[in-house]
Amino acid sequence: MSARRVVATGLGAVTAFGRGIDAYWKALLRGDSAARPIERFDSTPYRSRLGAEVPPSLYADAELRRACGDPAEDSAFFMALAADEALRAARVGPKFSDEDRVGCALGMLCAGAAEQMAIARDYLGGGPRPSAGLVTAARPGYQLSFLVERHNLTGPSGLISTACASSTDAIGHAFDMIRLGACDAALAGGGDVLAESIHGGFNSMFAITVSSAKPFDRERDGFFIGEGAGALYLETLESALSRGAEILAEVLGYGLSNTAHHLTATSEDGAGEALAMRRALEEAGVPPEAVDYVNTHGTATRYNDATEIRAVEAVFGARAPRILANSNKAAIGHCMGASGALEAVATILALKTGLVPPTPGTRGDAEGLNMDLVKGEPRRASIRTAISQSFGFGGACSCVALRRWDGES
Amino acid sequence: MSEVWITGVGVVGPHGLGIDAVLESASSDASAYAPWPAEQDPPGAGAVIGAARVIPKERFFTERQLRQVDRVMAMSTCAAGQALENAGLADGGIDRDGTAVFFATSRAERTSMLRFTQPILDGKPRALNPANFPWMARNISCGQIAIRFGLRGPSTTLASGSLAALEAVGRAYDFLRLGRARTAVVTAAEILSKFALYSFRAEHGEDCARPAPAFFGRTPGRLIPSEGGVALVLERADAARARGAAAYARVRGWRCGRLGGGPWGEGLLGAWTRLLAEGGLSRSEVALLSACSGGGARTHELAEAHALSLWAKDADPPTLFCAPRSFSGEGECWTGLLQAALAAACLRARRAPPTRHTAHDAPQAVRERAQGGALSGAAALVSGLESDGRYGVLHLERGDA
Repeated sequence: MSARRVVATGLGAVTAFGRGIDAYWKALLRGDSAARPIERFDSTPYRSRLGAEVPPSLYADAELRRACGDPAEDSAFFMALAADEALRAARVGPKFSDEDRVGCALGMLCAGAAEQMAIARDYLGGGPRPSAGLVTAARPGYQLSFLVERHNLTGPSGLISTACASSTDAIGHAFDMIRLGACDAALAGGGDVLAESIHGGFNSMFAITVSSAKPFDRERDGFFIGEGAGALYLETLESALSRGAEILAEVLGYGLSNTAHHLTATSEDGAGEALAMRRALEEAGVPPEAVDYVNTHGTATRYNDATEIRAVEAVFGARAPRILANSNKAAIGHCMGASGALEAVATILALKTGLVPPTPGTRGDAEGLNMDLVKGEPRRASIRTAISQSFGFGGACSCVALRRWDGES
Repeated sequence: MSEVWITGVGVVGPHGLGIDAVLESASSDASAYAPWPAEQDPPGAGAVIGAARVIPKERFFTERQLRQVDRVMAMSTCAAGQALENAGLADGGIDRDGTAVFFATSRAERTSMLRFTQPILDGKPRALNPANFPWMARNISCGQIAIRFGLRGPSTTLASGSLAALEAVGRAYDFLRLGRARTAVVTAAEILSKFALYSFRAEHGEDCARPAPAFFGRTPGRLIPSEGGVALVLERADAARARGAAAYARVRGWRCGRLGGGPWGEGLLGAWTRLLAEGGLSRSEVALLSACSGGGARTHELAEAHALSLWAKDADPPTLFCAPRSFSGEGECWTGLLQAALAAACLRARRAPPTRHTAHDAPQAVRERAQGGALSGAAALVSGLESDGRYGVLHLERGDA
């Protein structure tokens, strides 16, 4: 295997707290929750109306949208904004030359869902045949096509759709592209939208909270859906050093697994989820006792959190109580396919600043909770190694291992 | 890094079951197509579709399980089951934690999305059926394959368009080479339904109404929508050898990227040539080039046709060109993976079927190479290209070479 090391040198975010890393990180540190009644569509018929929408002012900013190349679909717009920020921070791009061979790996779940609904409405209503433009925007691959053309990314690319694990997997995919020498740098992450069909679906499964998301709380009753995008600019260590870039963290490895248990439910014993965590650590060359912080999947559903607790127990055993943990989903909502990227961004910021944001809304009293869940206030700590993990429908599990950059040790 | 073999192939599609059915059908004059359903507003006289003839669901699911799978889950699981059987891994010989599942699709979820969301569209959102909700996730077929065969290895779903099928093979190849898995089941599937046909026609417009497909030229031809499922079993060579398995083909290399600002035909030819060079081969050593054209004149098809014409000018002995979509229709990911499956099967059989409906304006040298026949060597390239310039190319070598 190639010994190329991969580092992150640029981050970008769009969340319900607005545009940019700064807005996202400050809200996380304050322990804010962006949950509000959804306004974009009529949410009144649903059991819960809660969601975390990107601010309407951003949606309505036609000039900004045009500046982003006028994407025909909202997740691509969010991802374009996040990518711009990541590239600016890394001091590269935004338009690359053909010779640069920058790669791109994105993850998403709901992108294009509103457009698919519009086509379905025409179909059922016998309306005019939808335009080719609408059909194109409804395609899963639209976001990737838009990004690679916008930034002239000529390296390898891929679009991952493993439900809620999508963009963690995408970071791993980008890591592979760079490490294996297919390219020297890659844009990774993903954008996703709060779609009515998905809100309705999770409501029908009683997975959306009617009060507030309370990860790892005895009284937890589900999550609320968020939206936005997370972007990471990854490159070889050699490339970052040679151009004098600020290195934010090192990507050490990642792991994937399938629980092979149930199409929607997590495994009862956490064994399938633990496989992805172990694979990430093994590939990273990191023993479990070296992990300081877990950015959890932490959906705040009764079964998911219980399974995650068991998976952490299986991997870390006696070490678990000394591991700091949090969930960002109680703050920005469950951003579906984009959640992994946004959580990896928060993990890197925690490694860099030595601050772990609190998990809003929770008492942290879930049965069997074995991690040191940060709640109330941010925790200052010297964390060196962290994992960020995501689990999704279809038994999809992904985990990425990250390390604080302390120089070339 | 480990060598990687293709040891099993499964196909469920318009030609029937198995890769041999595709080869037989493609080598004869038989058509695998059915008439475009009359109630679905056919785009023109004689319009046809490539519908799967039979899905052997009962072989892989119980009656109760069948109530919980949709068409794409059934098709992809059946293809994966066939491939595992074909590889000799169906009867307990599989390393469950060491077997990865990679799935590719472009539109798998569309039909089930309509089914699930219809109550919202009818103004009755409280009537949403949670049992149908999981089918909205396009990786659900990947999960179904993992559940059905108990596979807990790395698992992912790629959805970048038609190219996702070759990307899935490429990613599986990397996982096996890196030692993350011993075996990988790579599956791609697409389905047709009334709604899928409606969407296909909306996207491809008048290309659906043209009189006939036209391959490798500049004339716009007809696109024939198609459905099916394909699965490949990829295995680390050491694992395959240890159990005495035979290889259809070896995966010798993989390359992907995006064509930039220069002429795409030349760019694609360059990508093919660079991959060969990485494997120590020249163009004259390639016996078969599997093309991704669907018979129209879309951007990527024009670029590929140009690249083939450049290739045909100077490669000797002649590389045969084969476009599986000429006898299987435009099935996006399913036909994308069929390209790889068919190339592997052709290498094993040392013959390639002809490309049907070669365009009248295709260069003579290209037309000659598209007539099928005996392969002159042991190497094949499988090429994919999207209209945004993203390409992927896979280098295969006959298993006993």
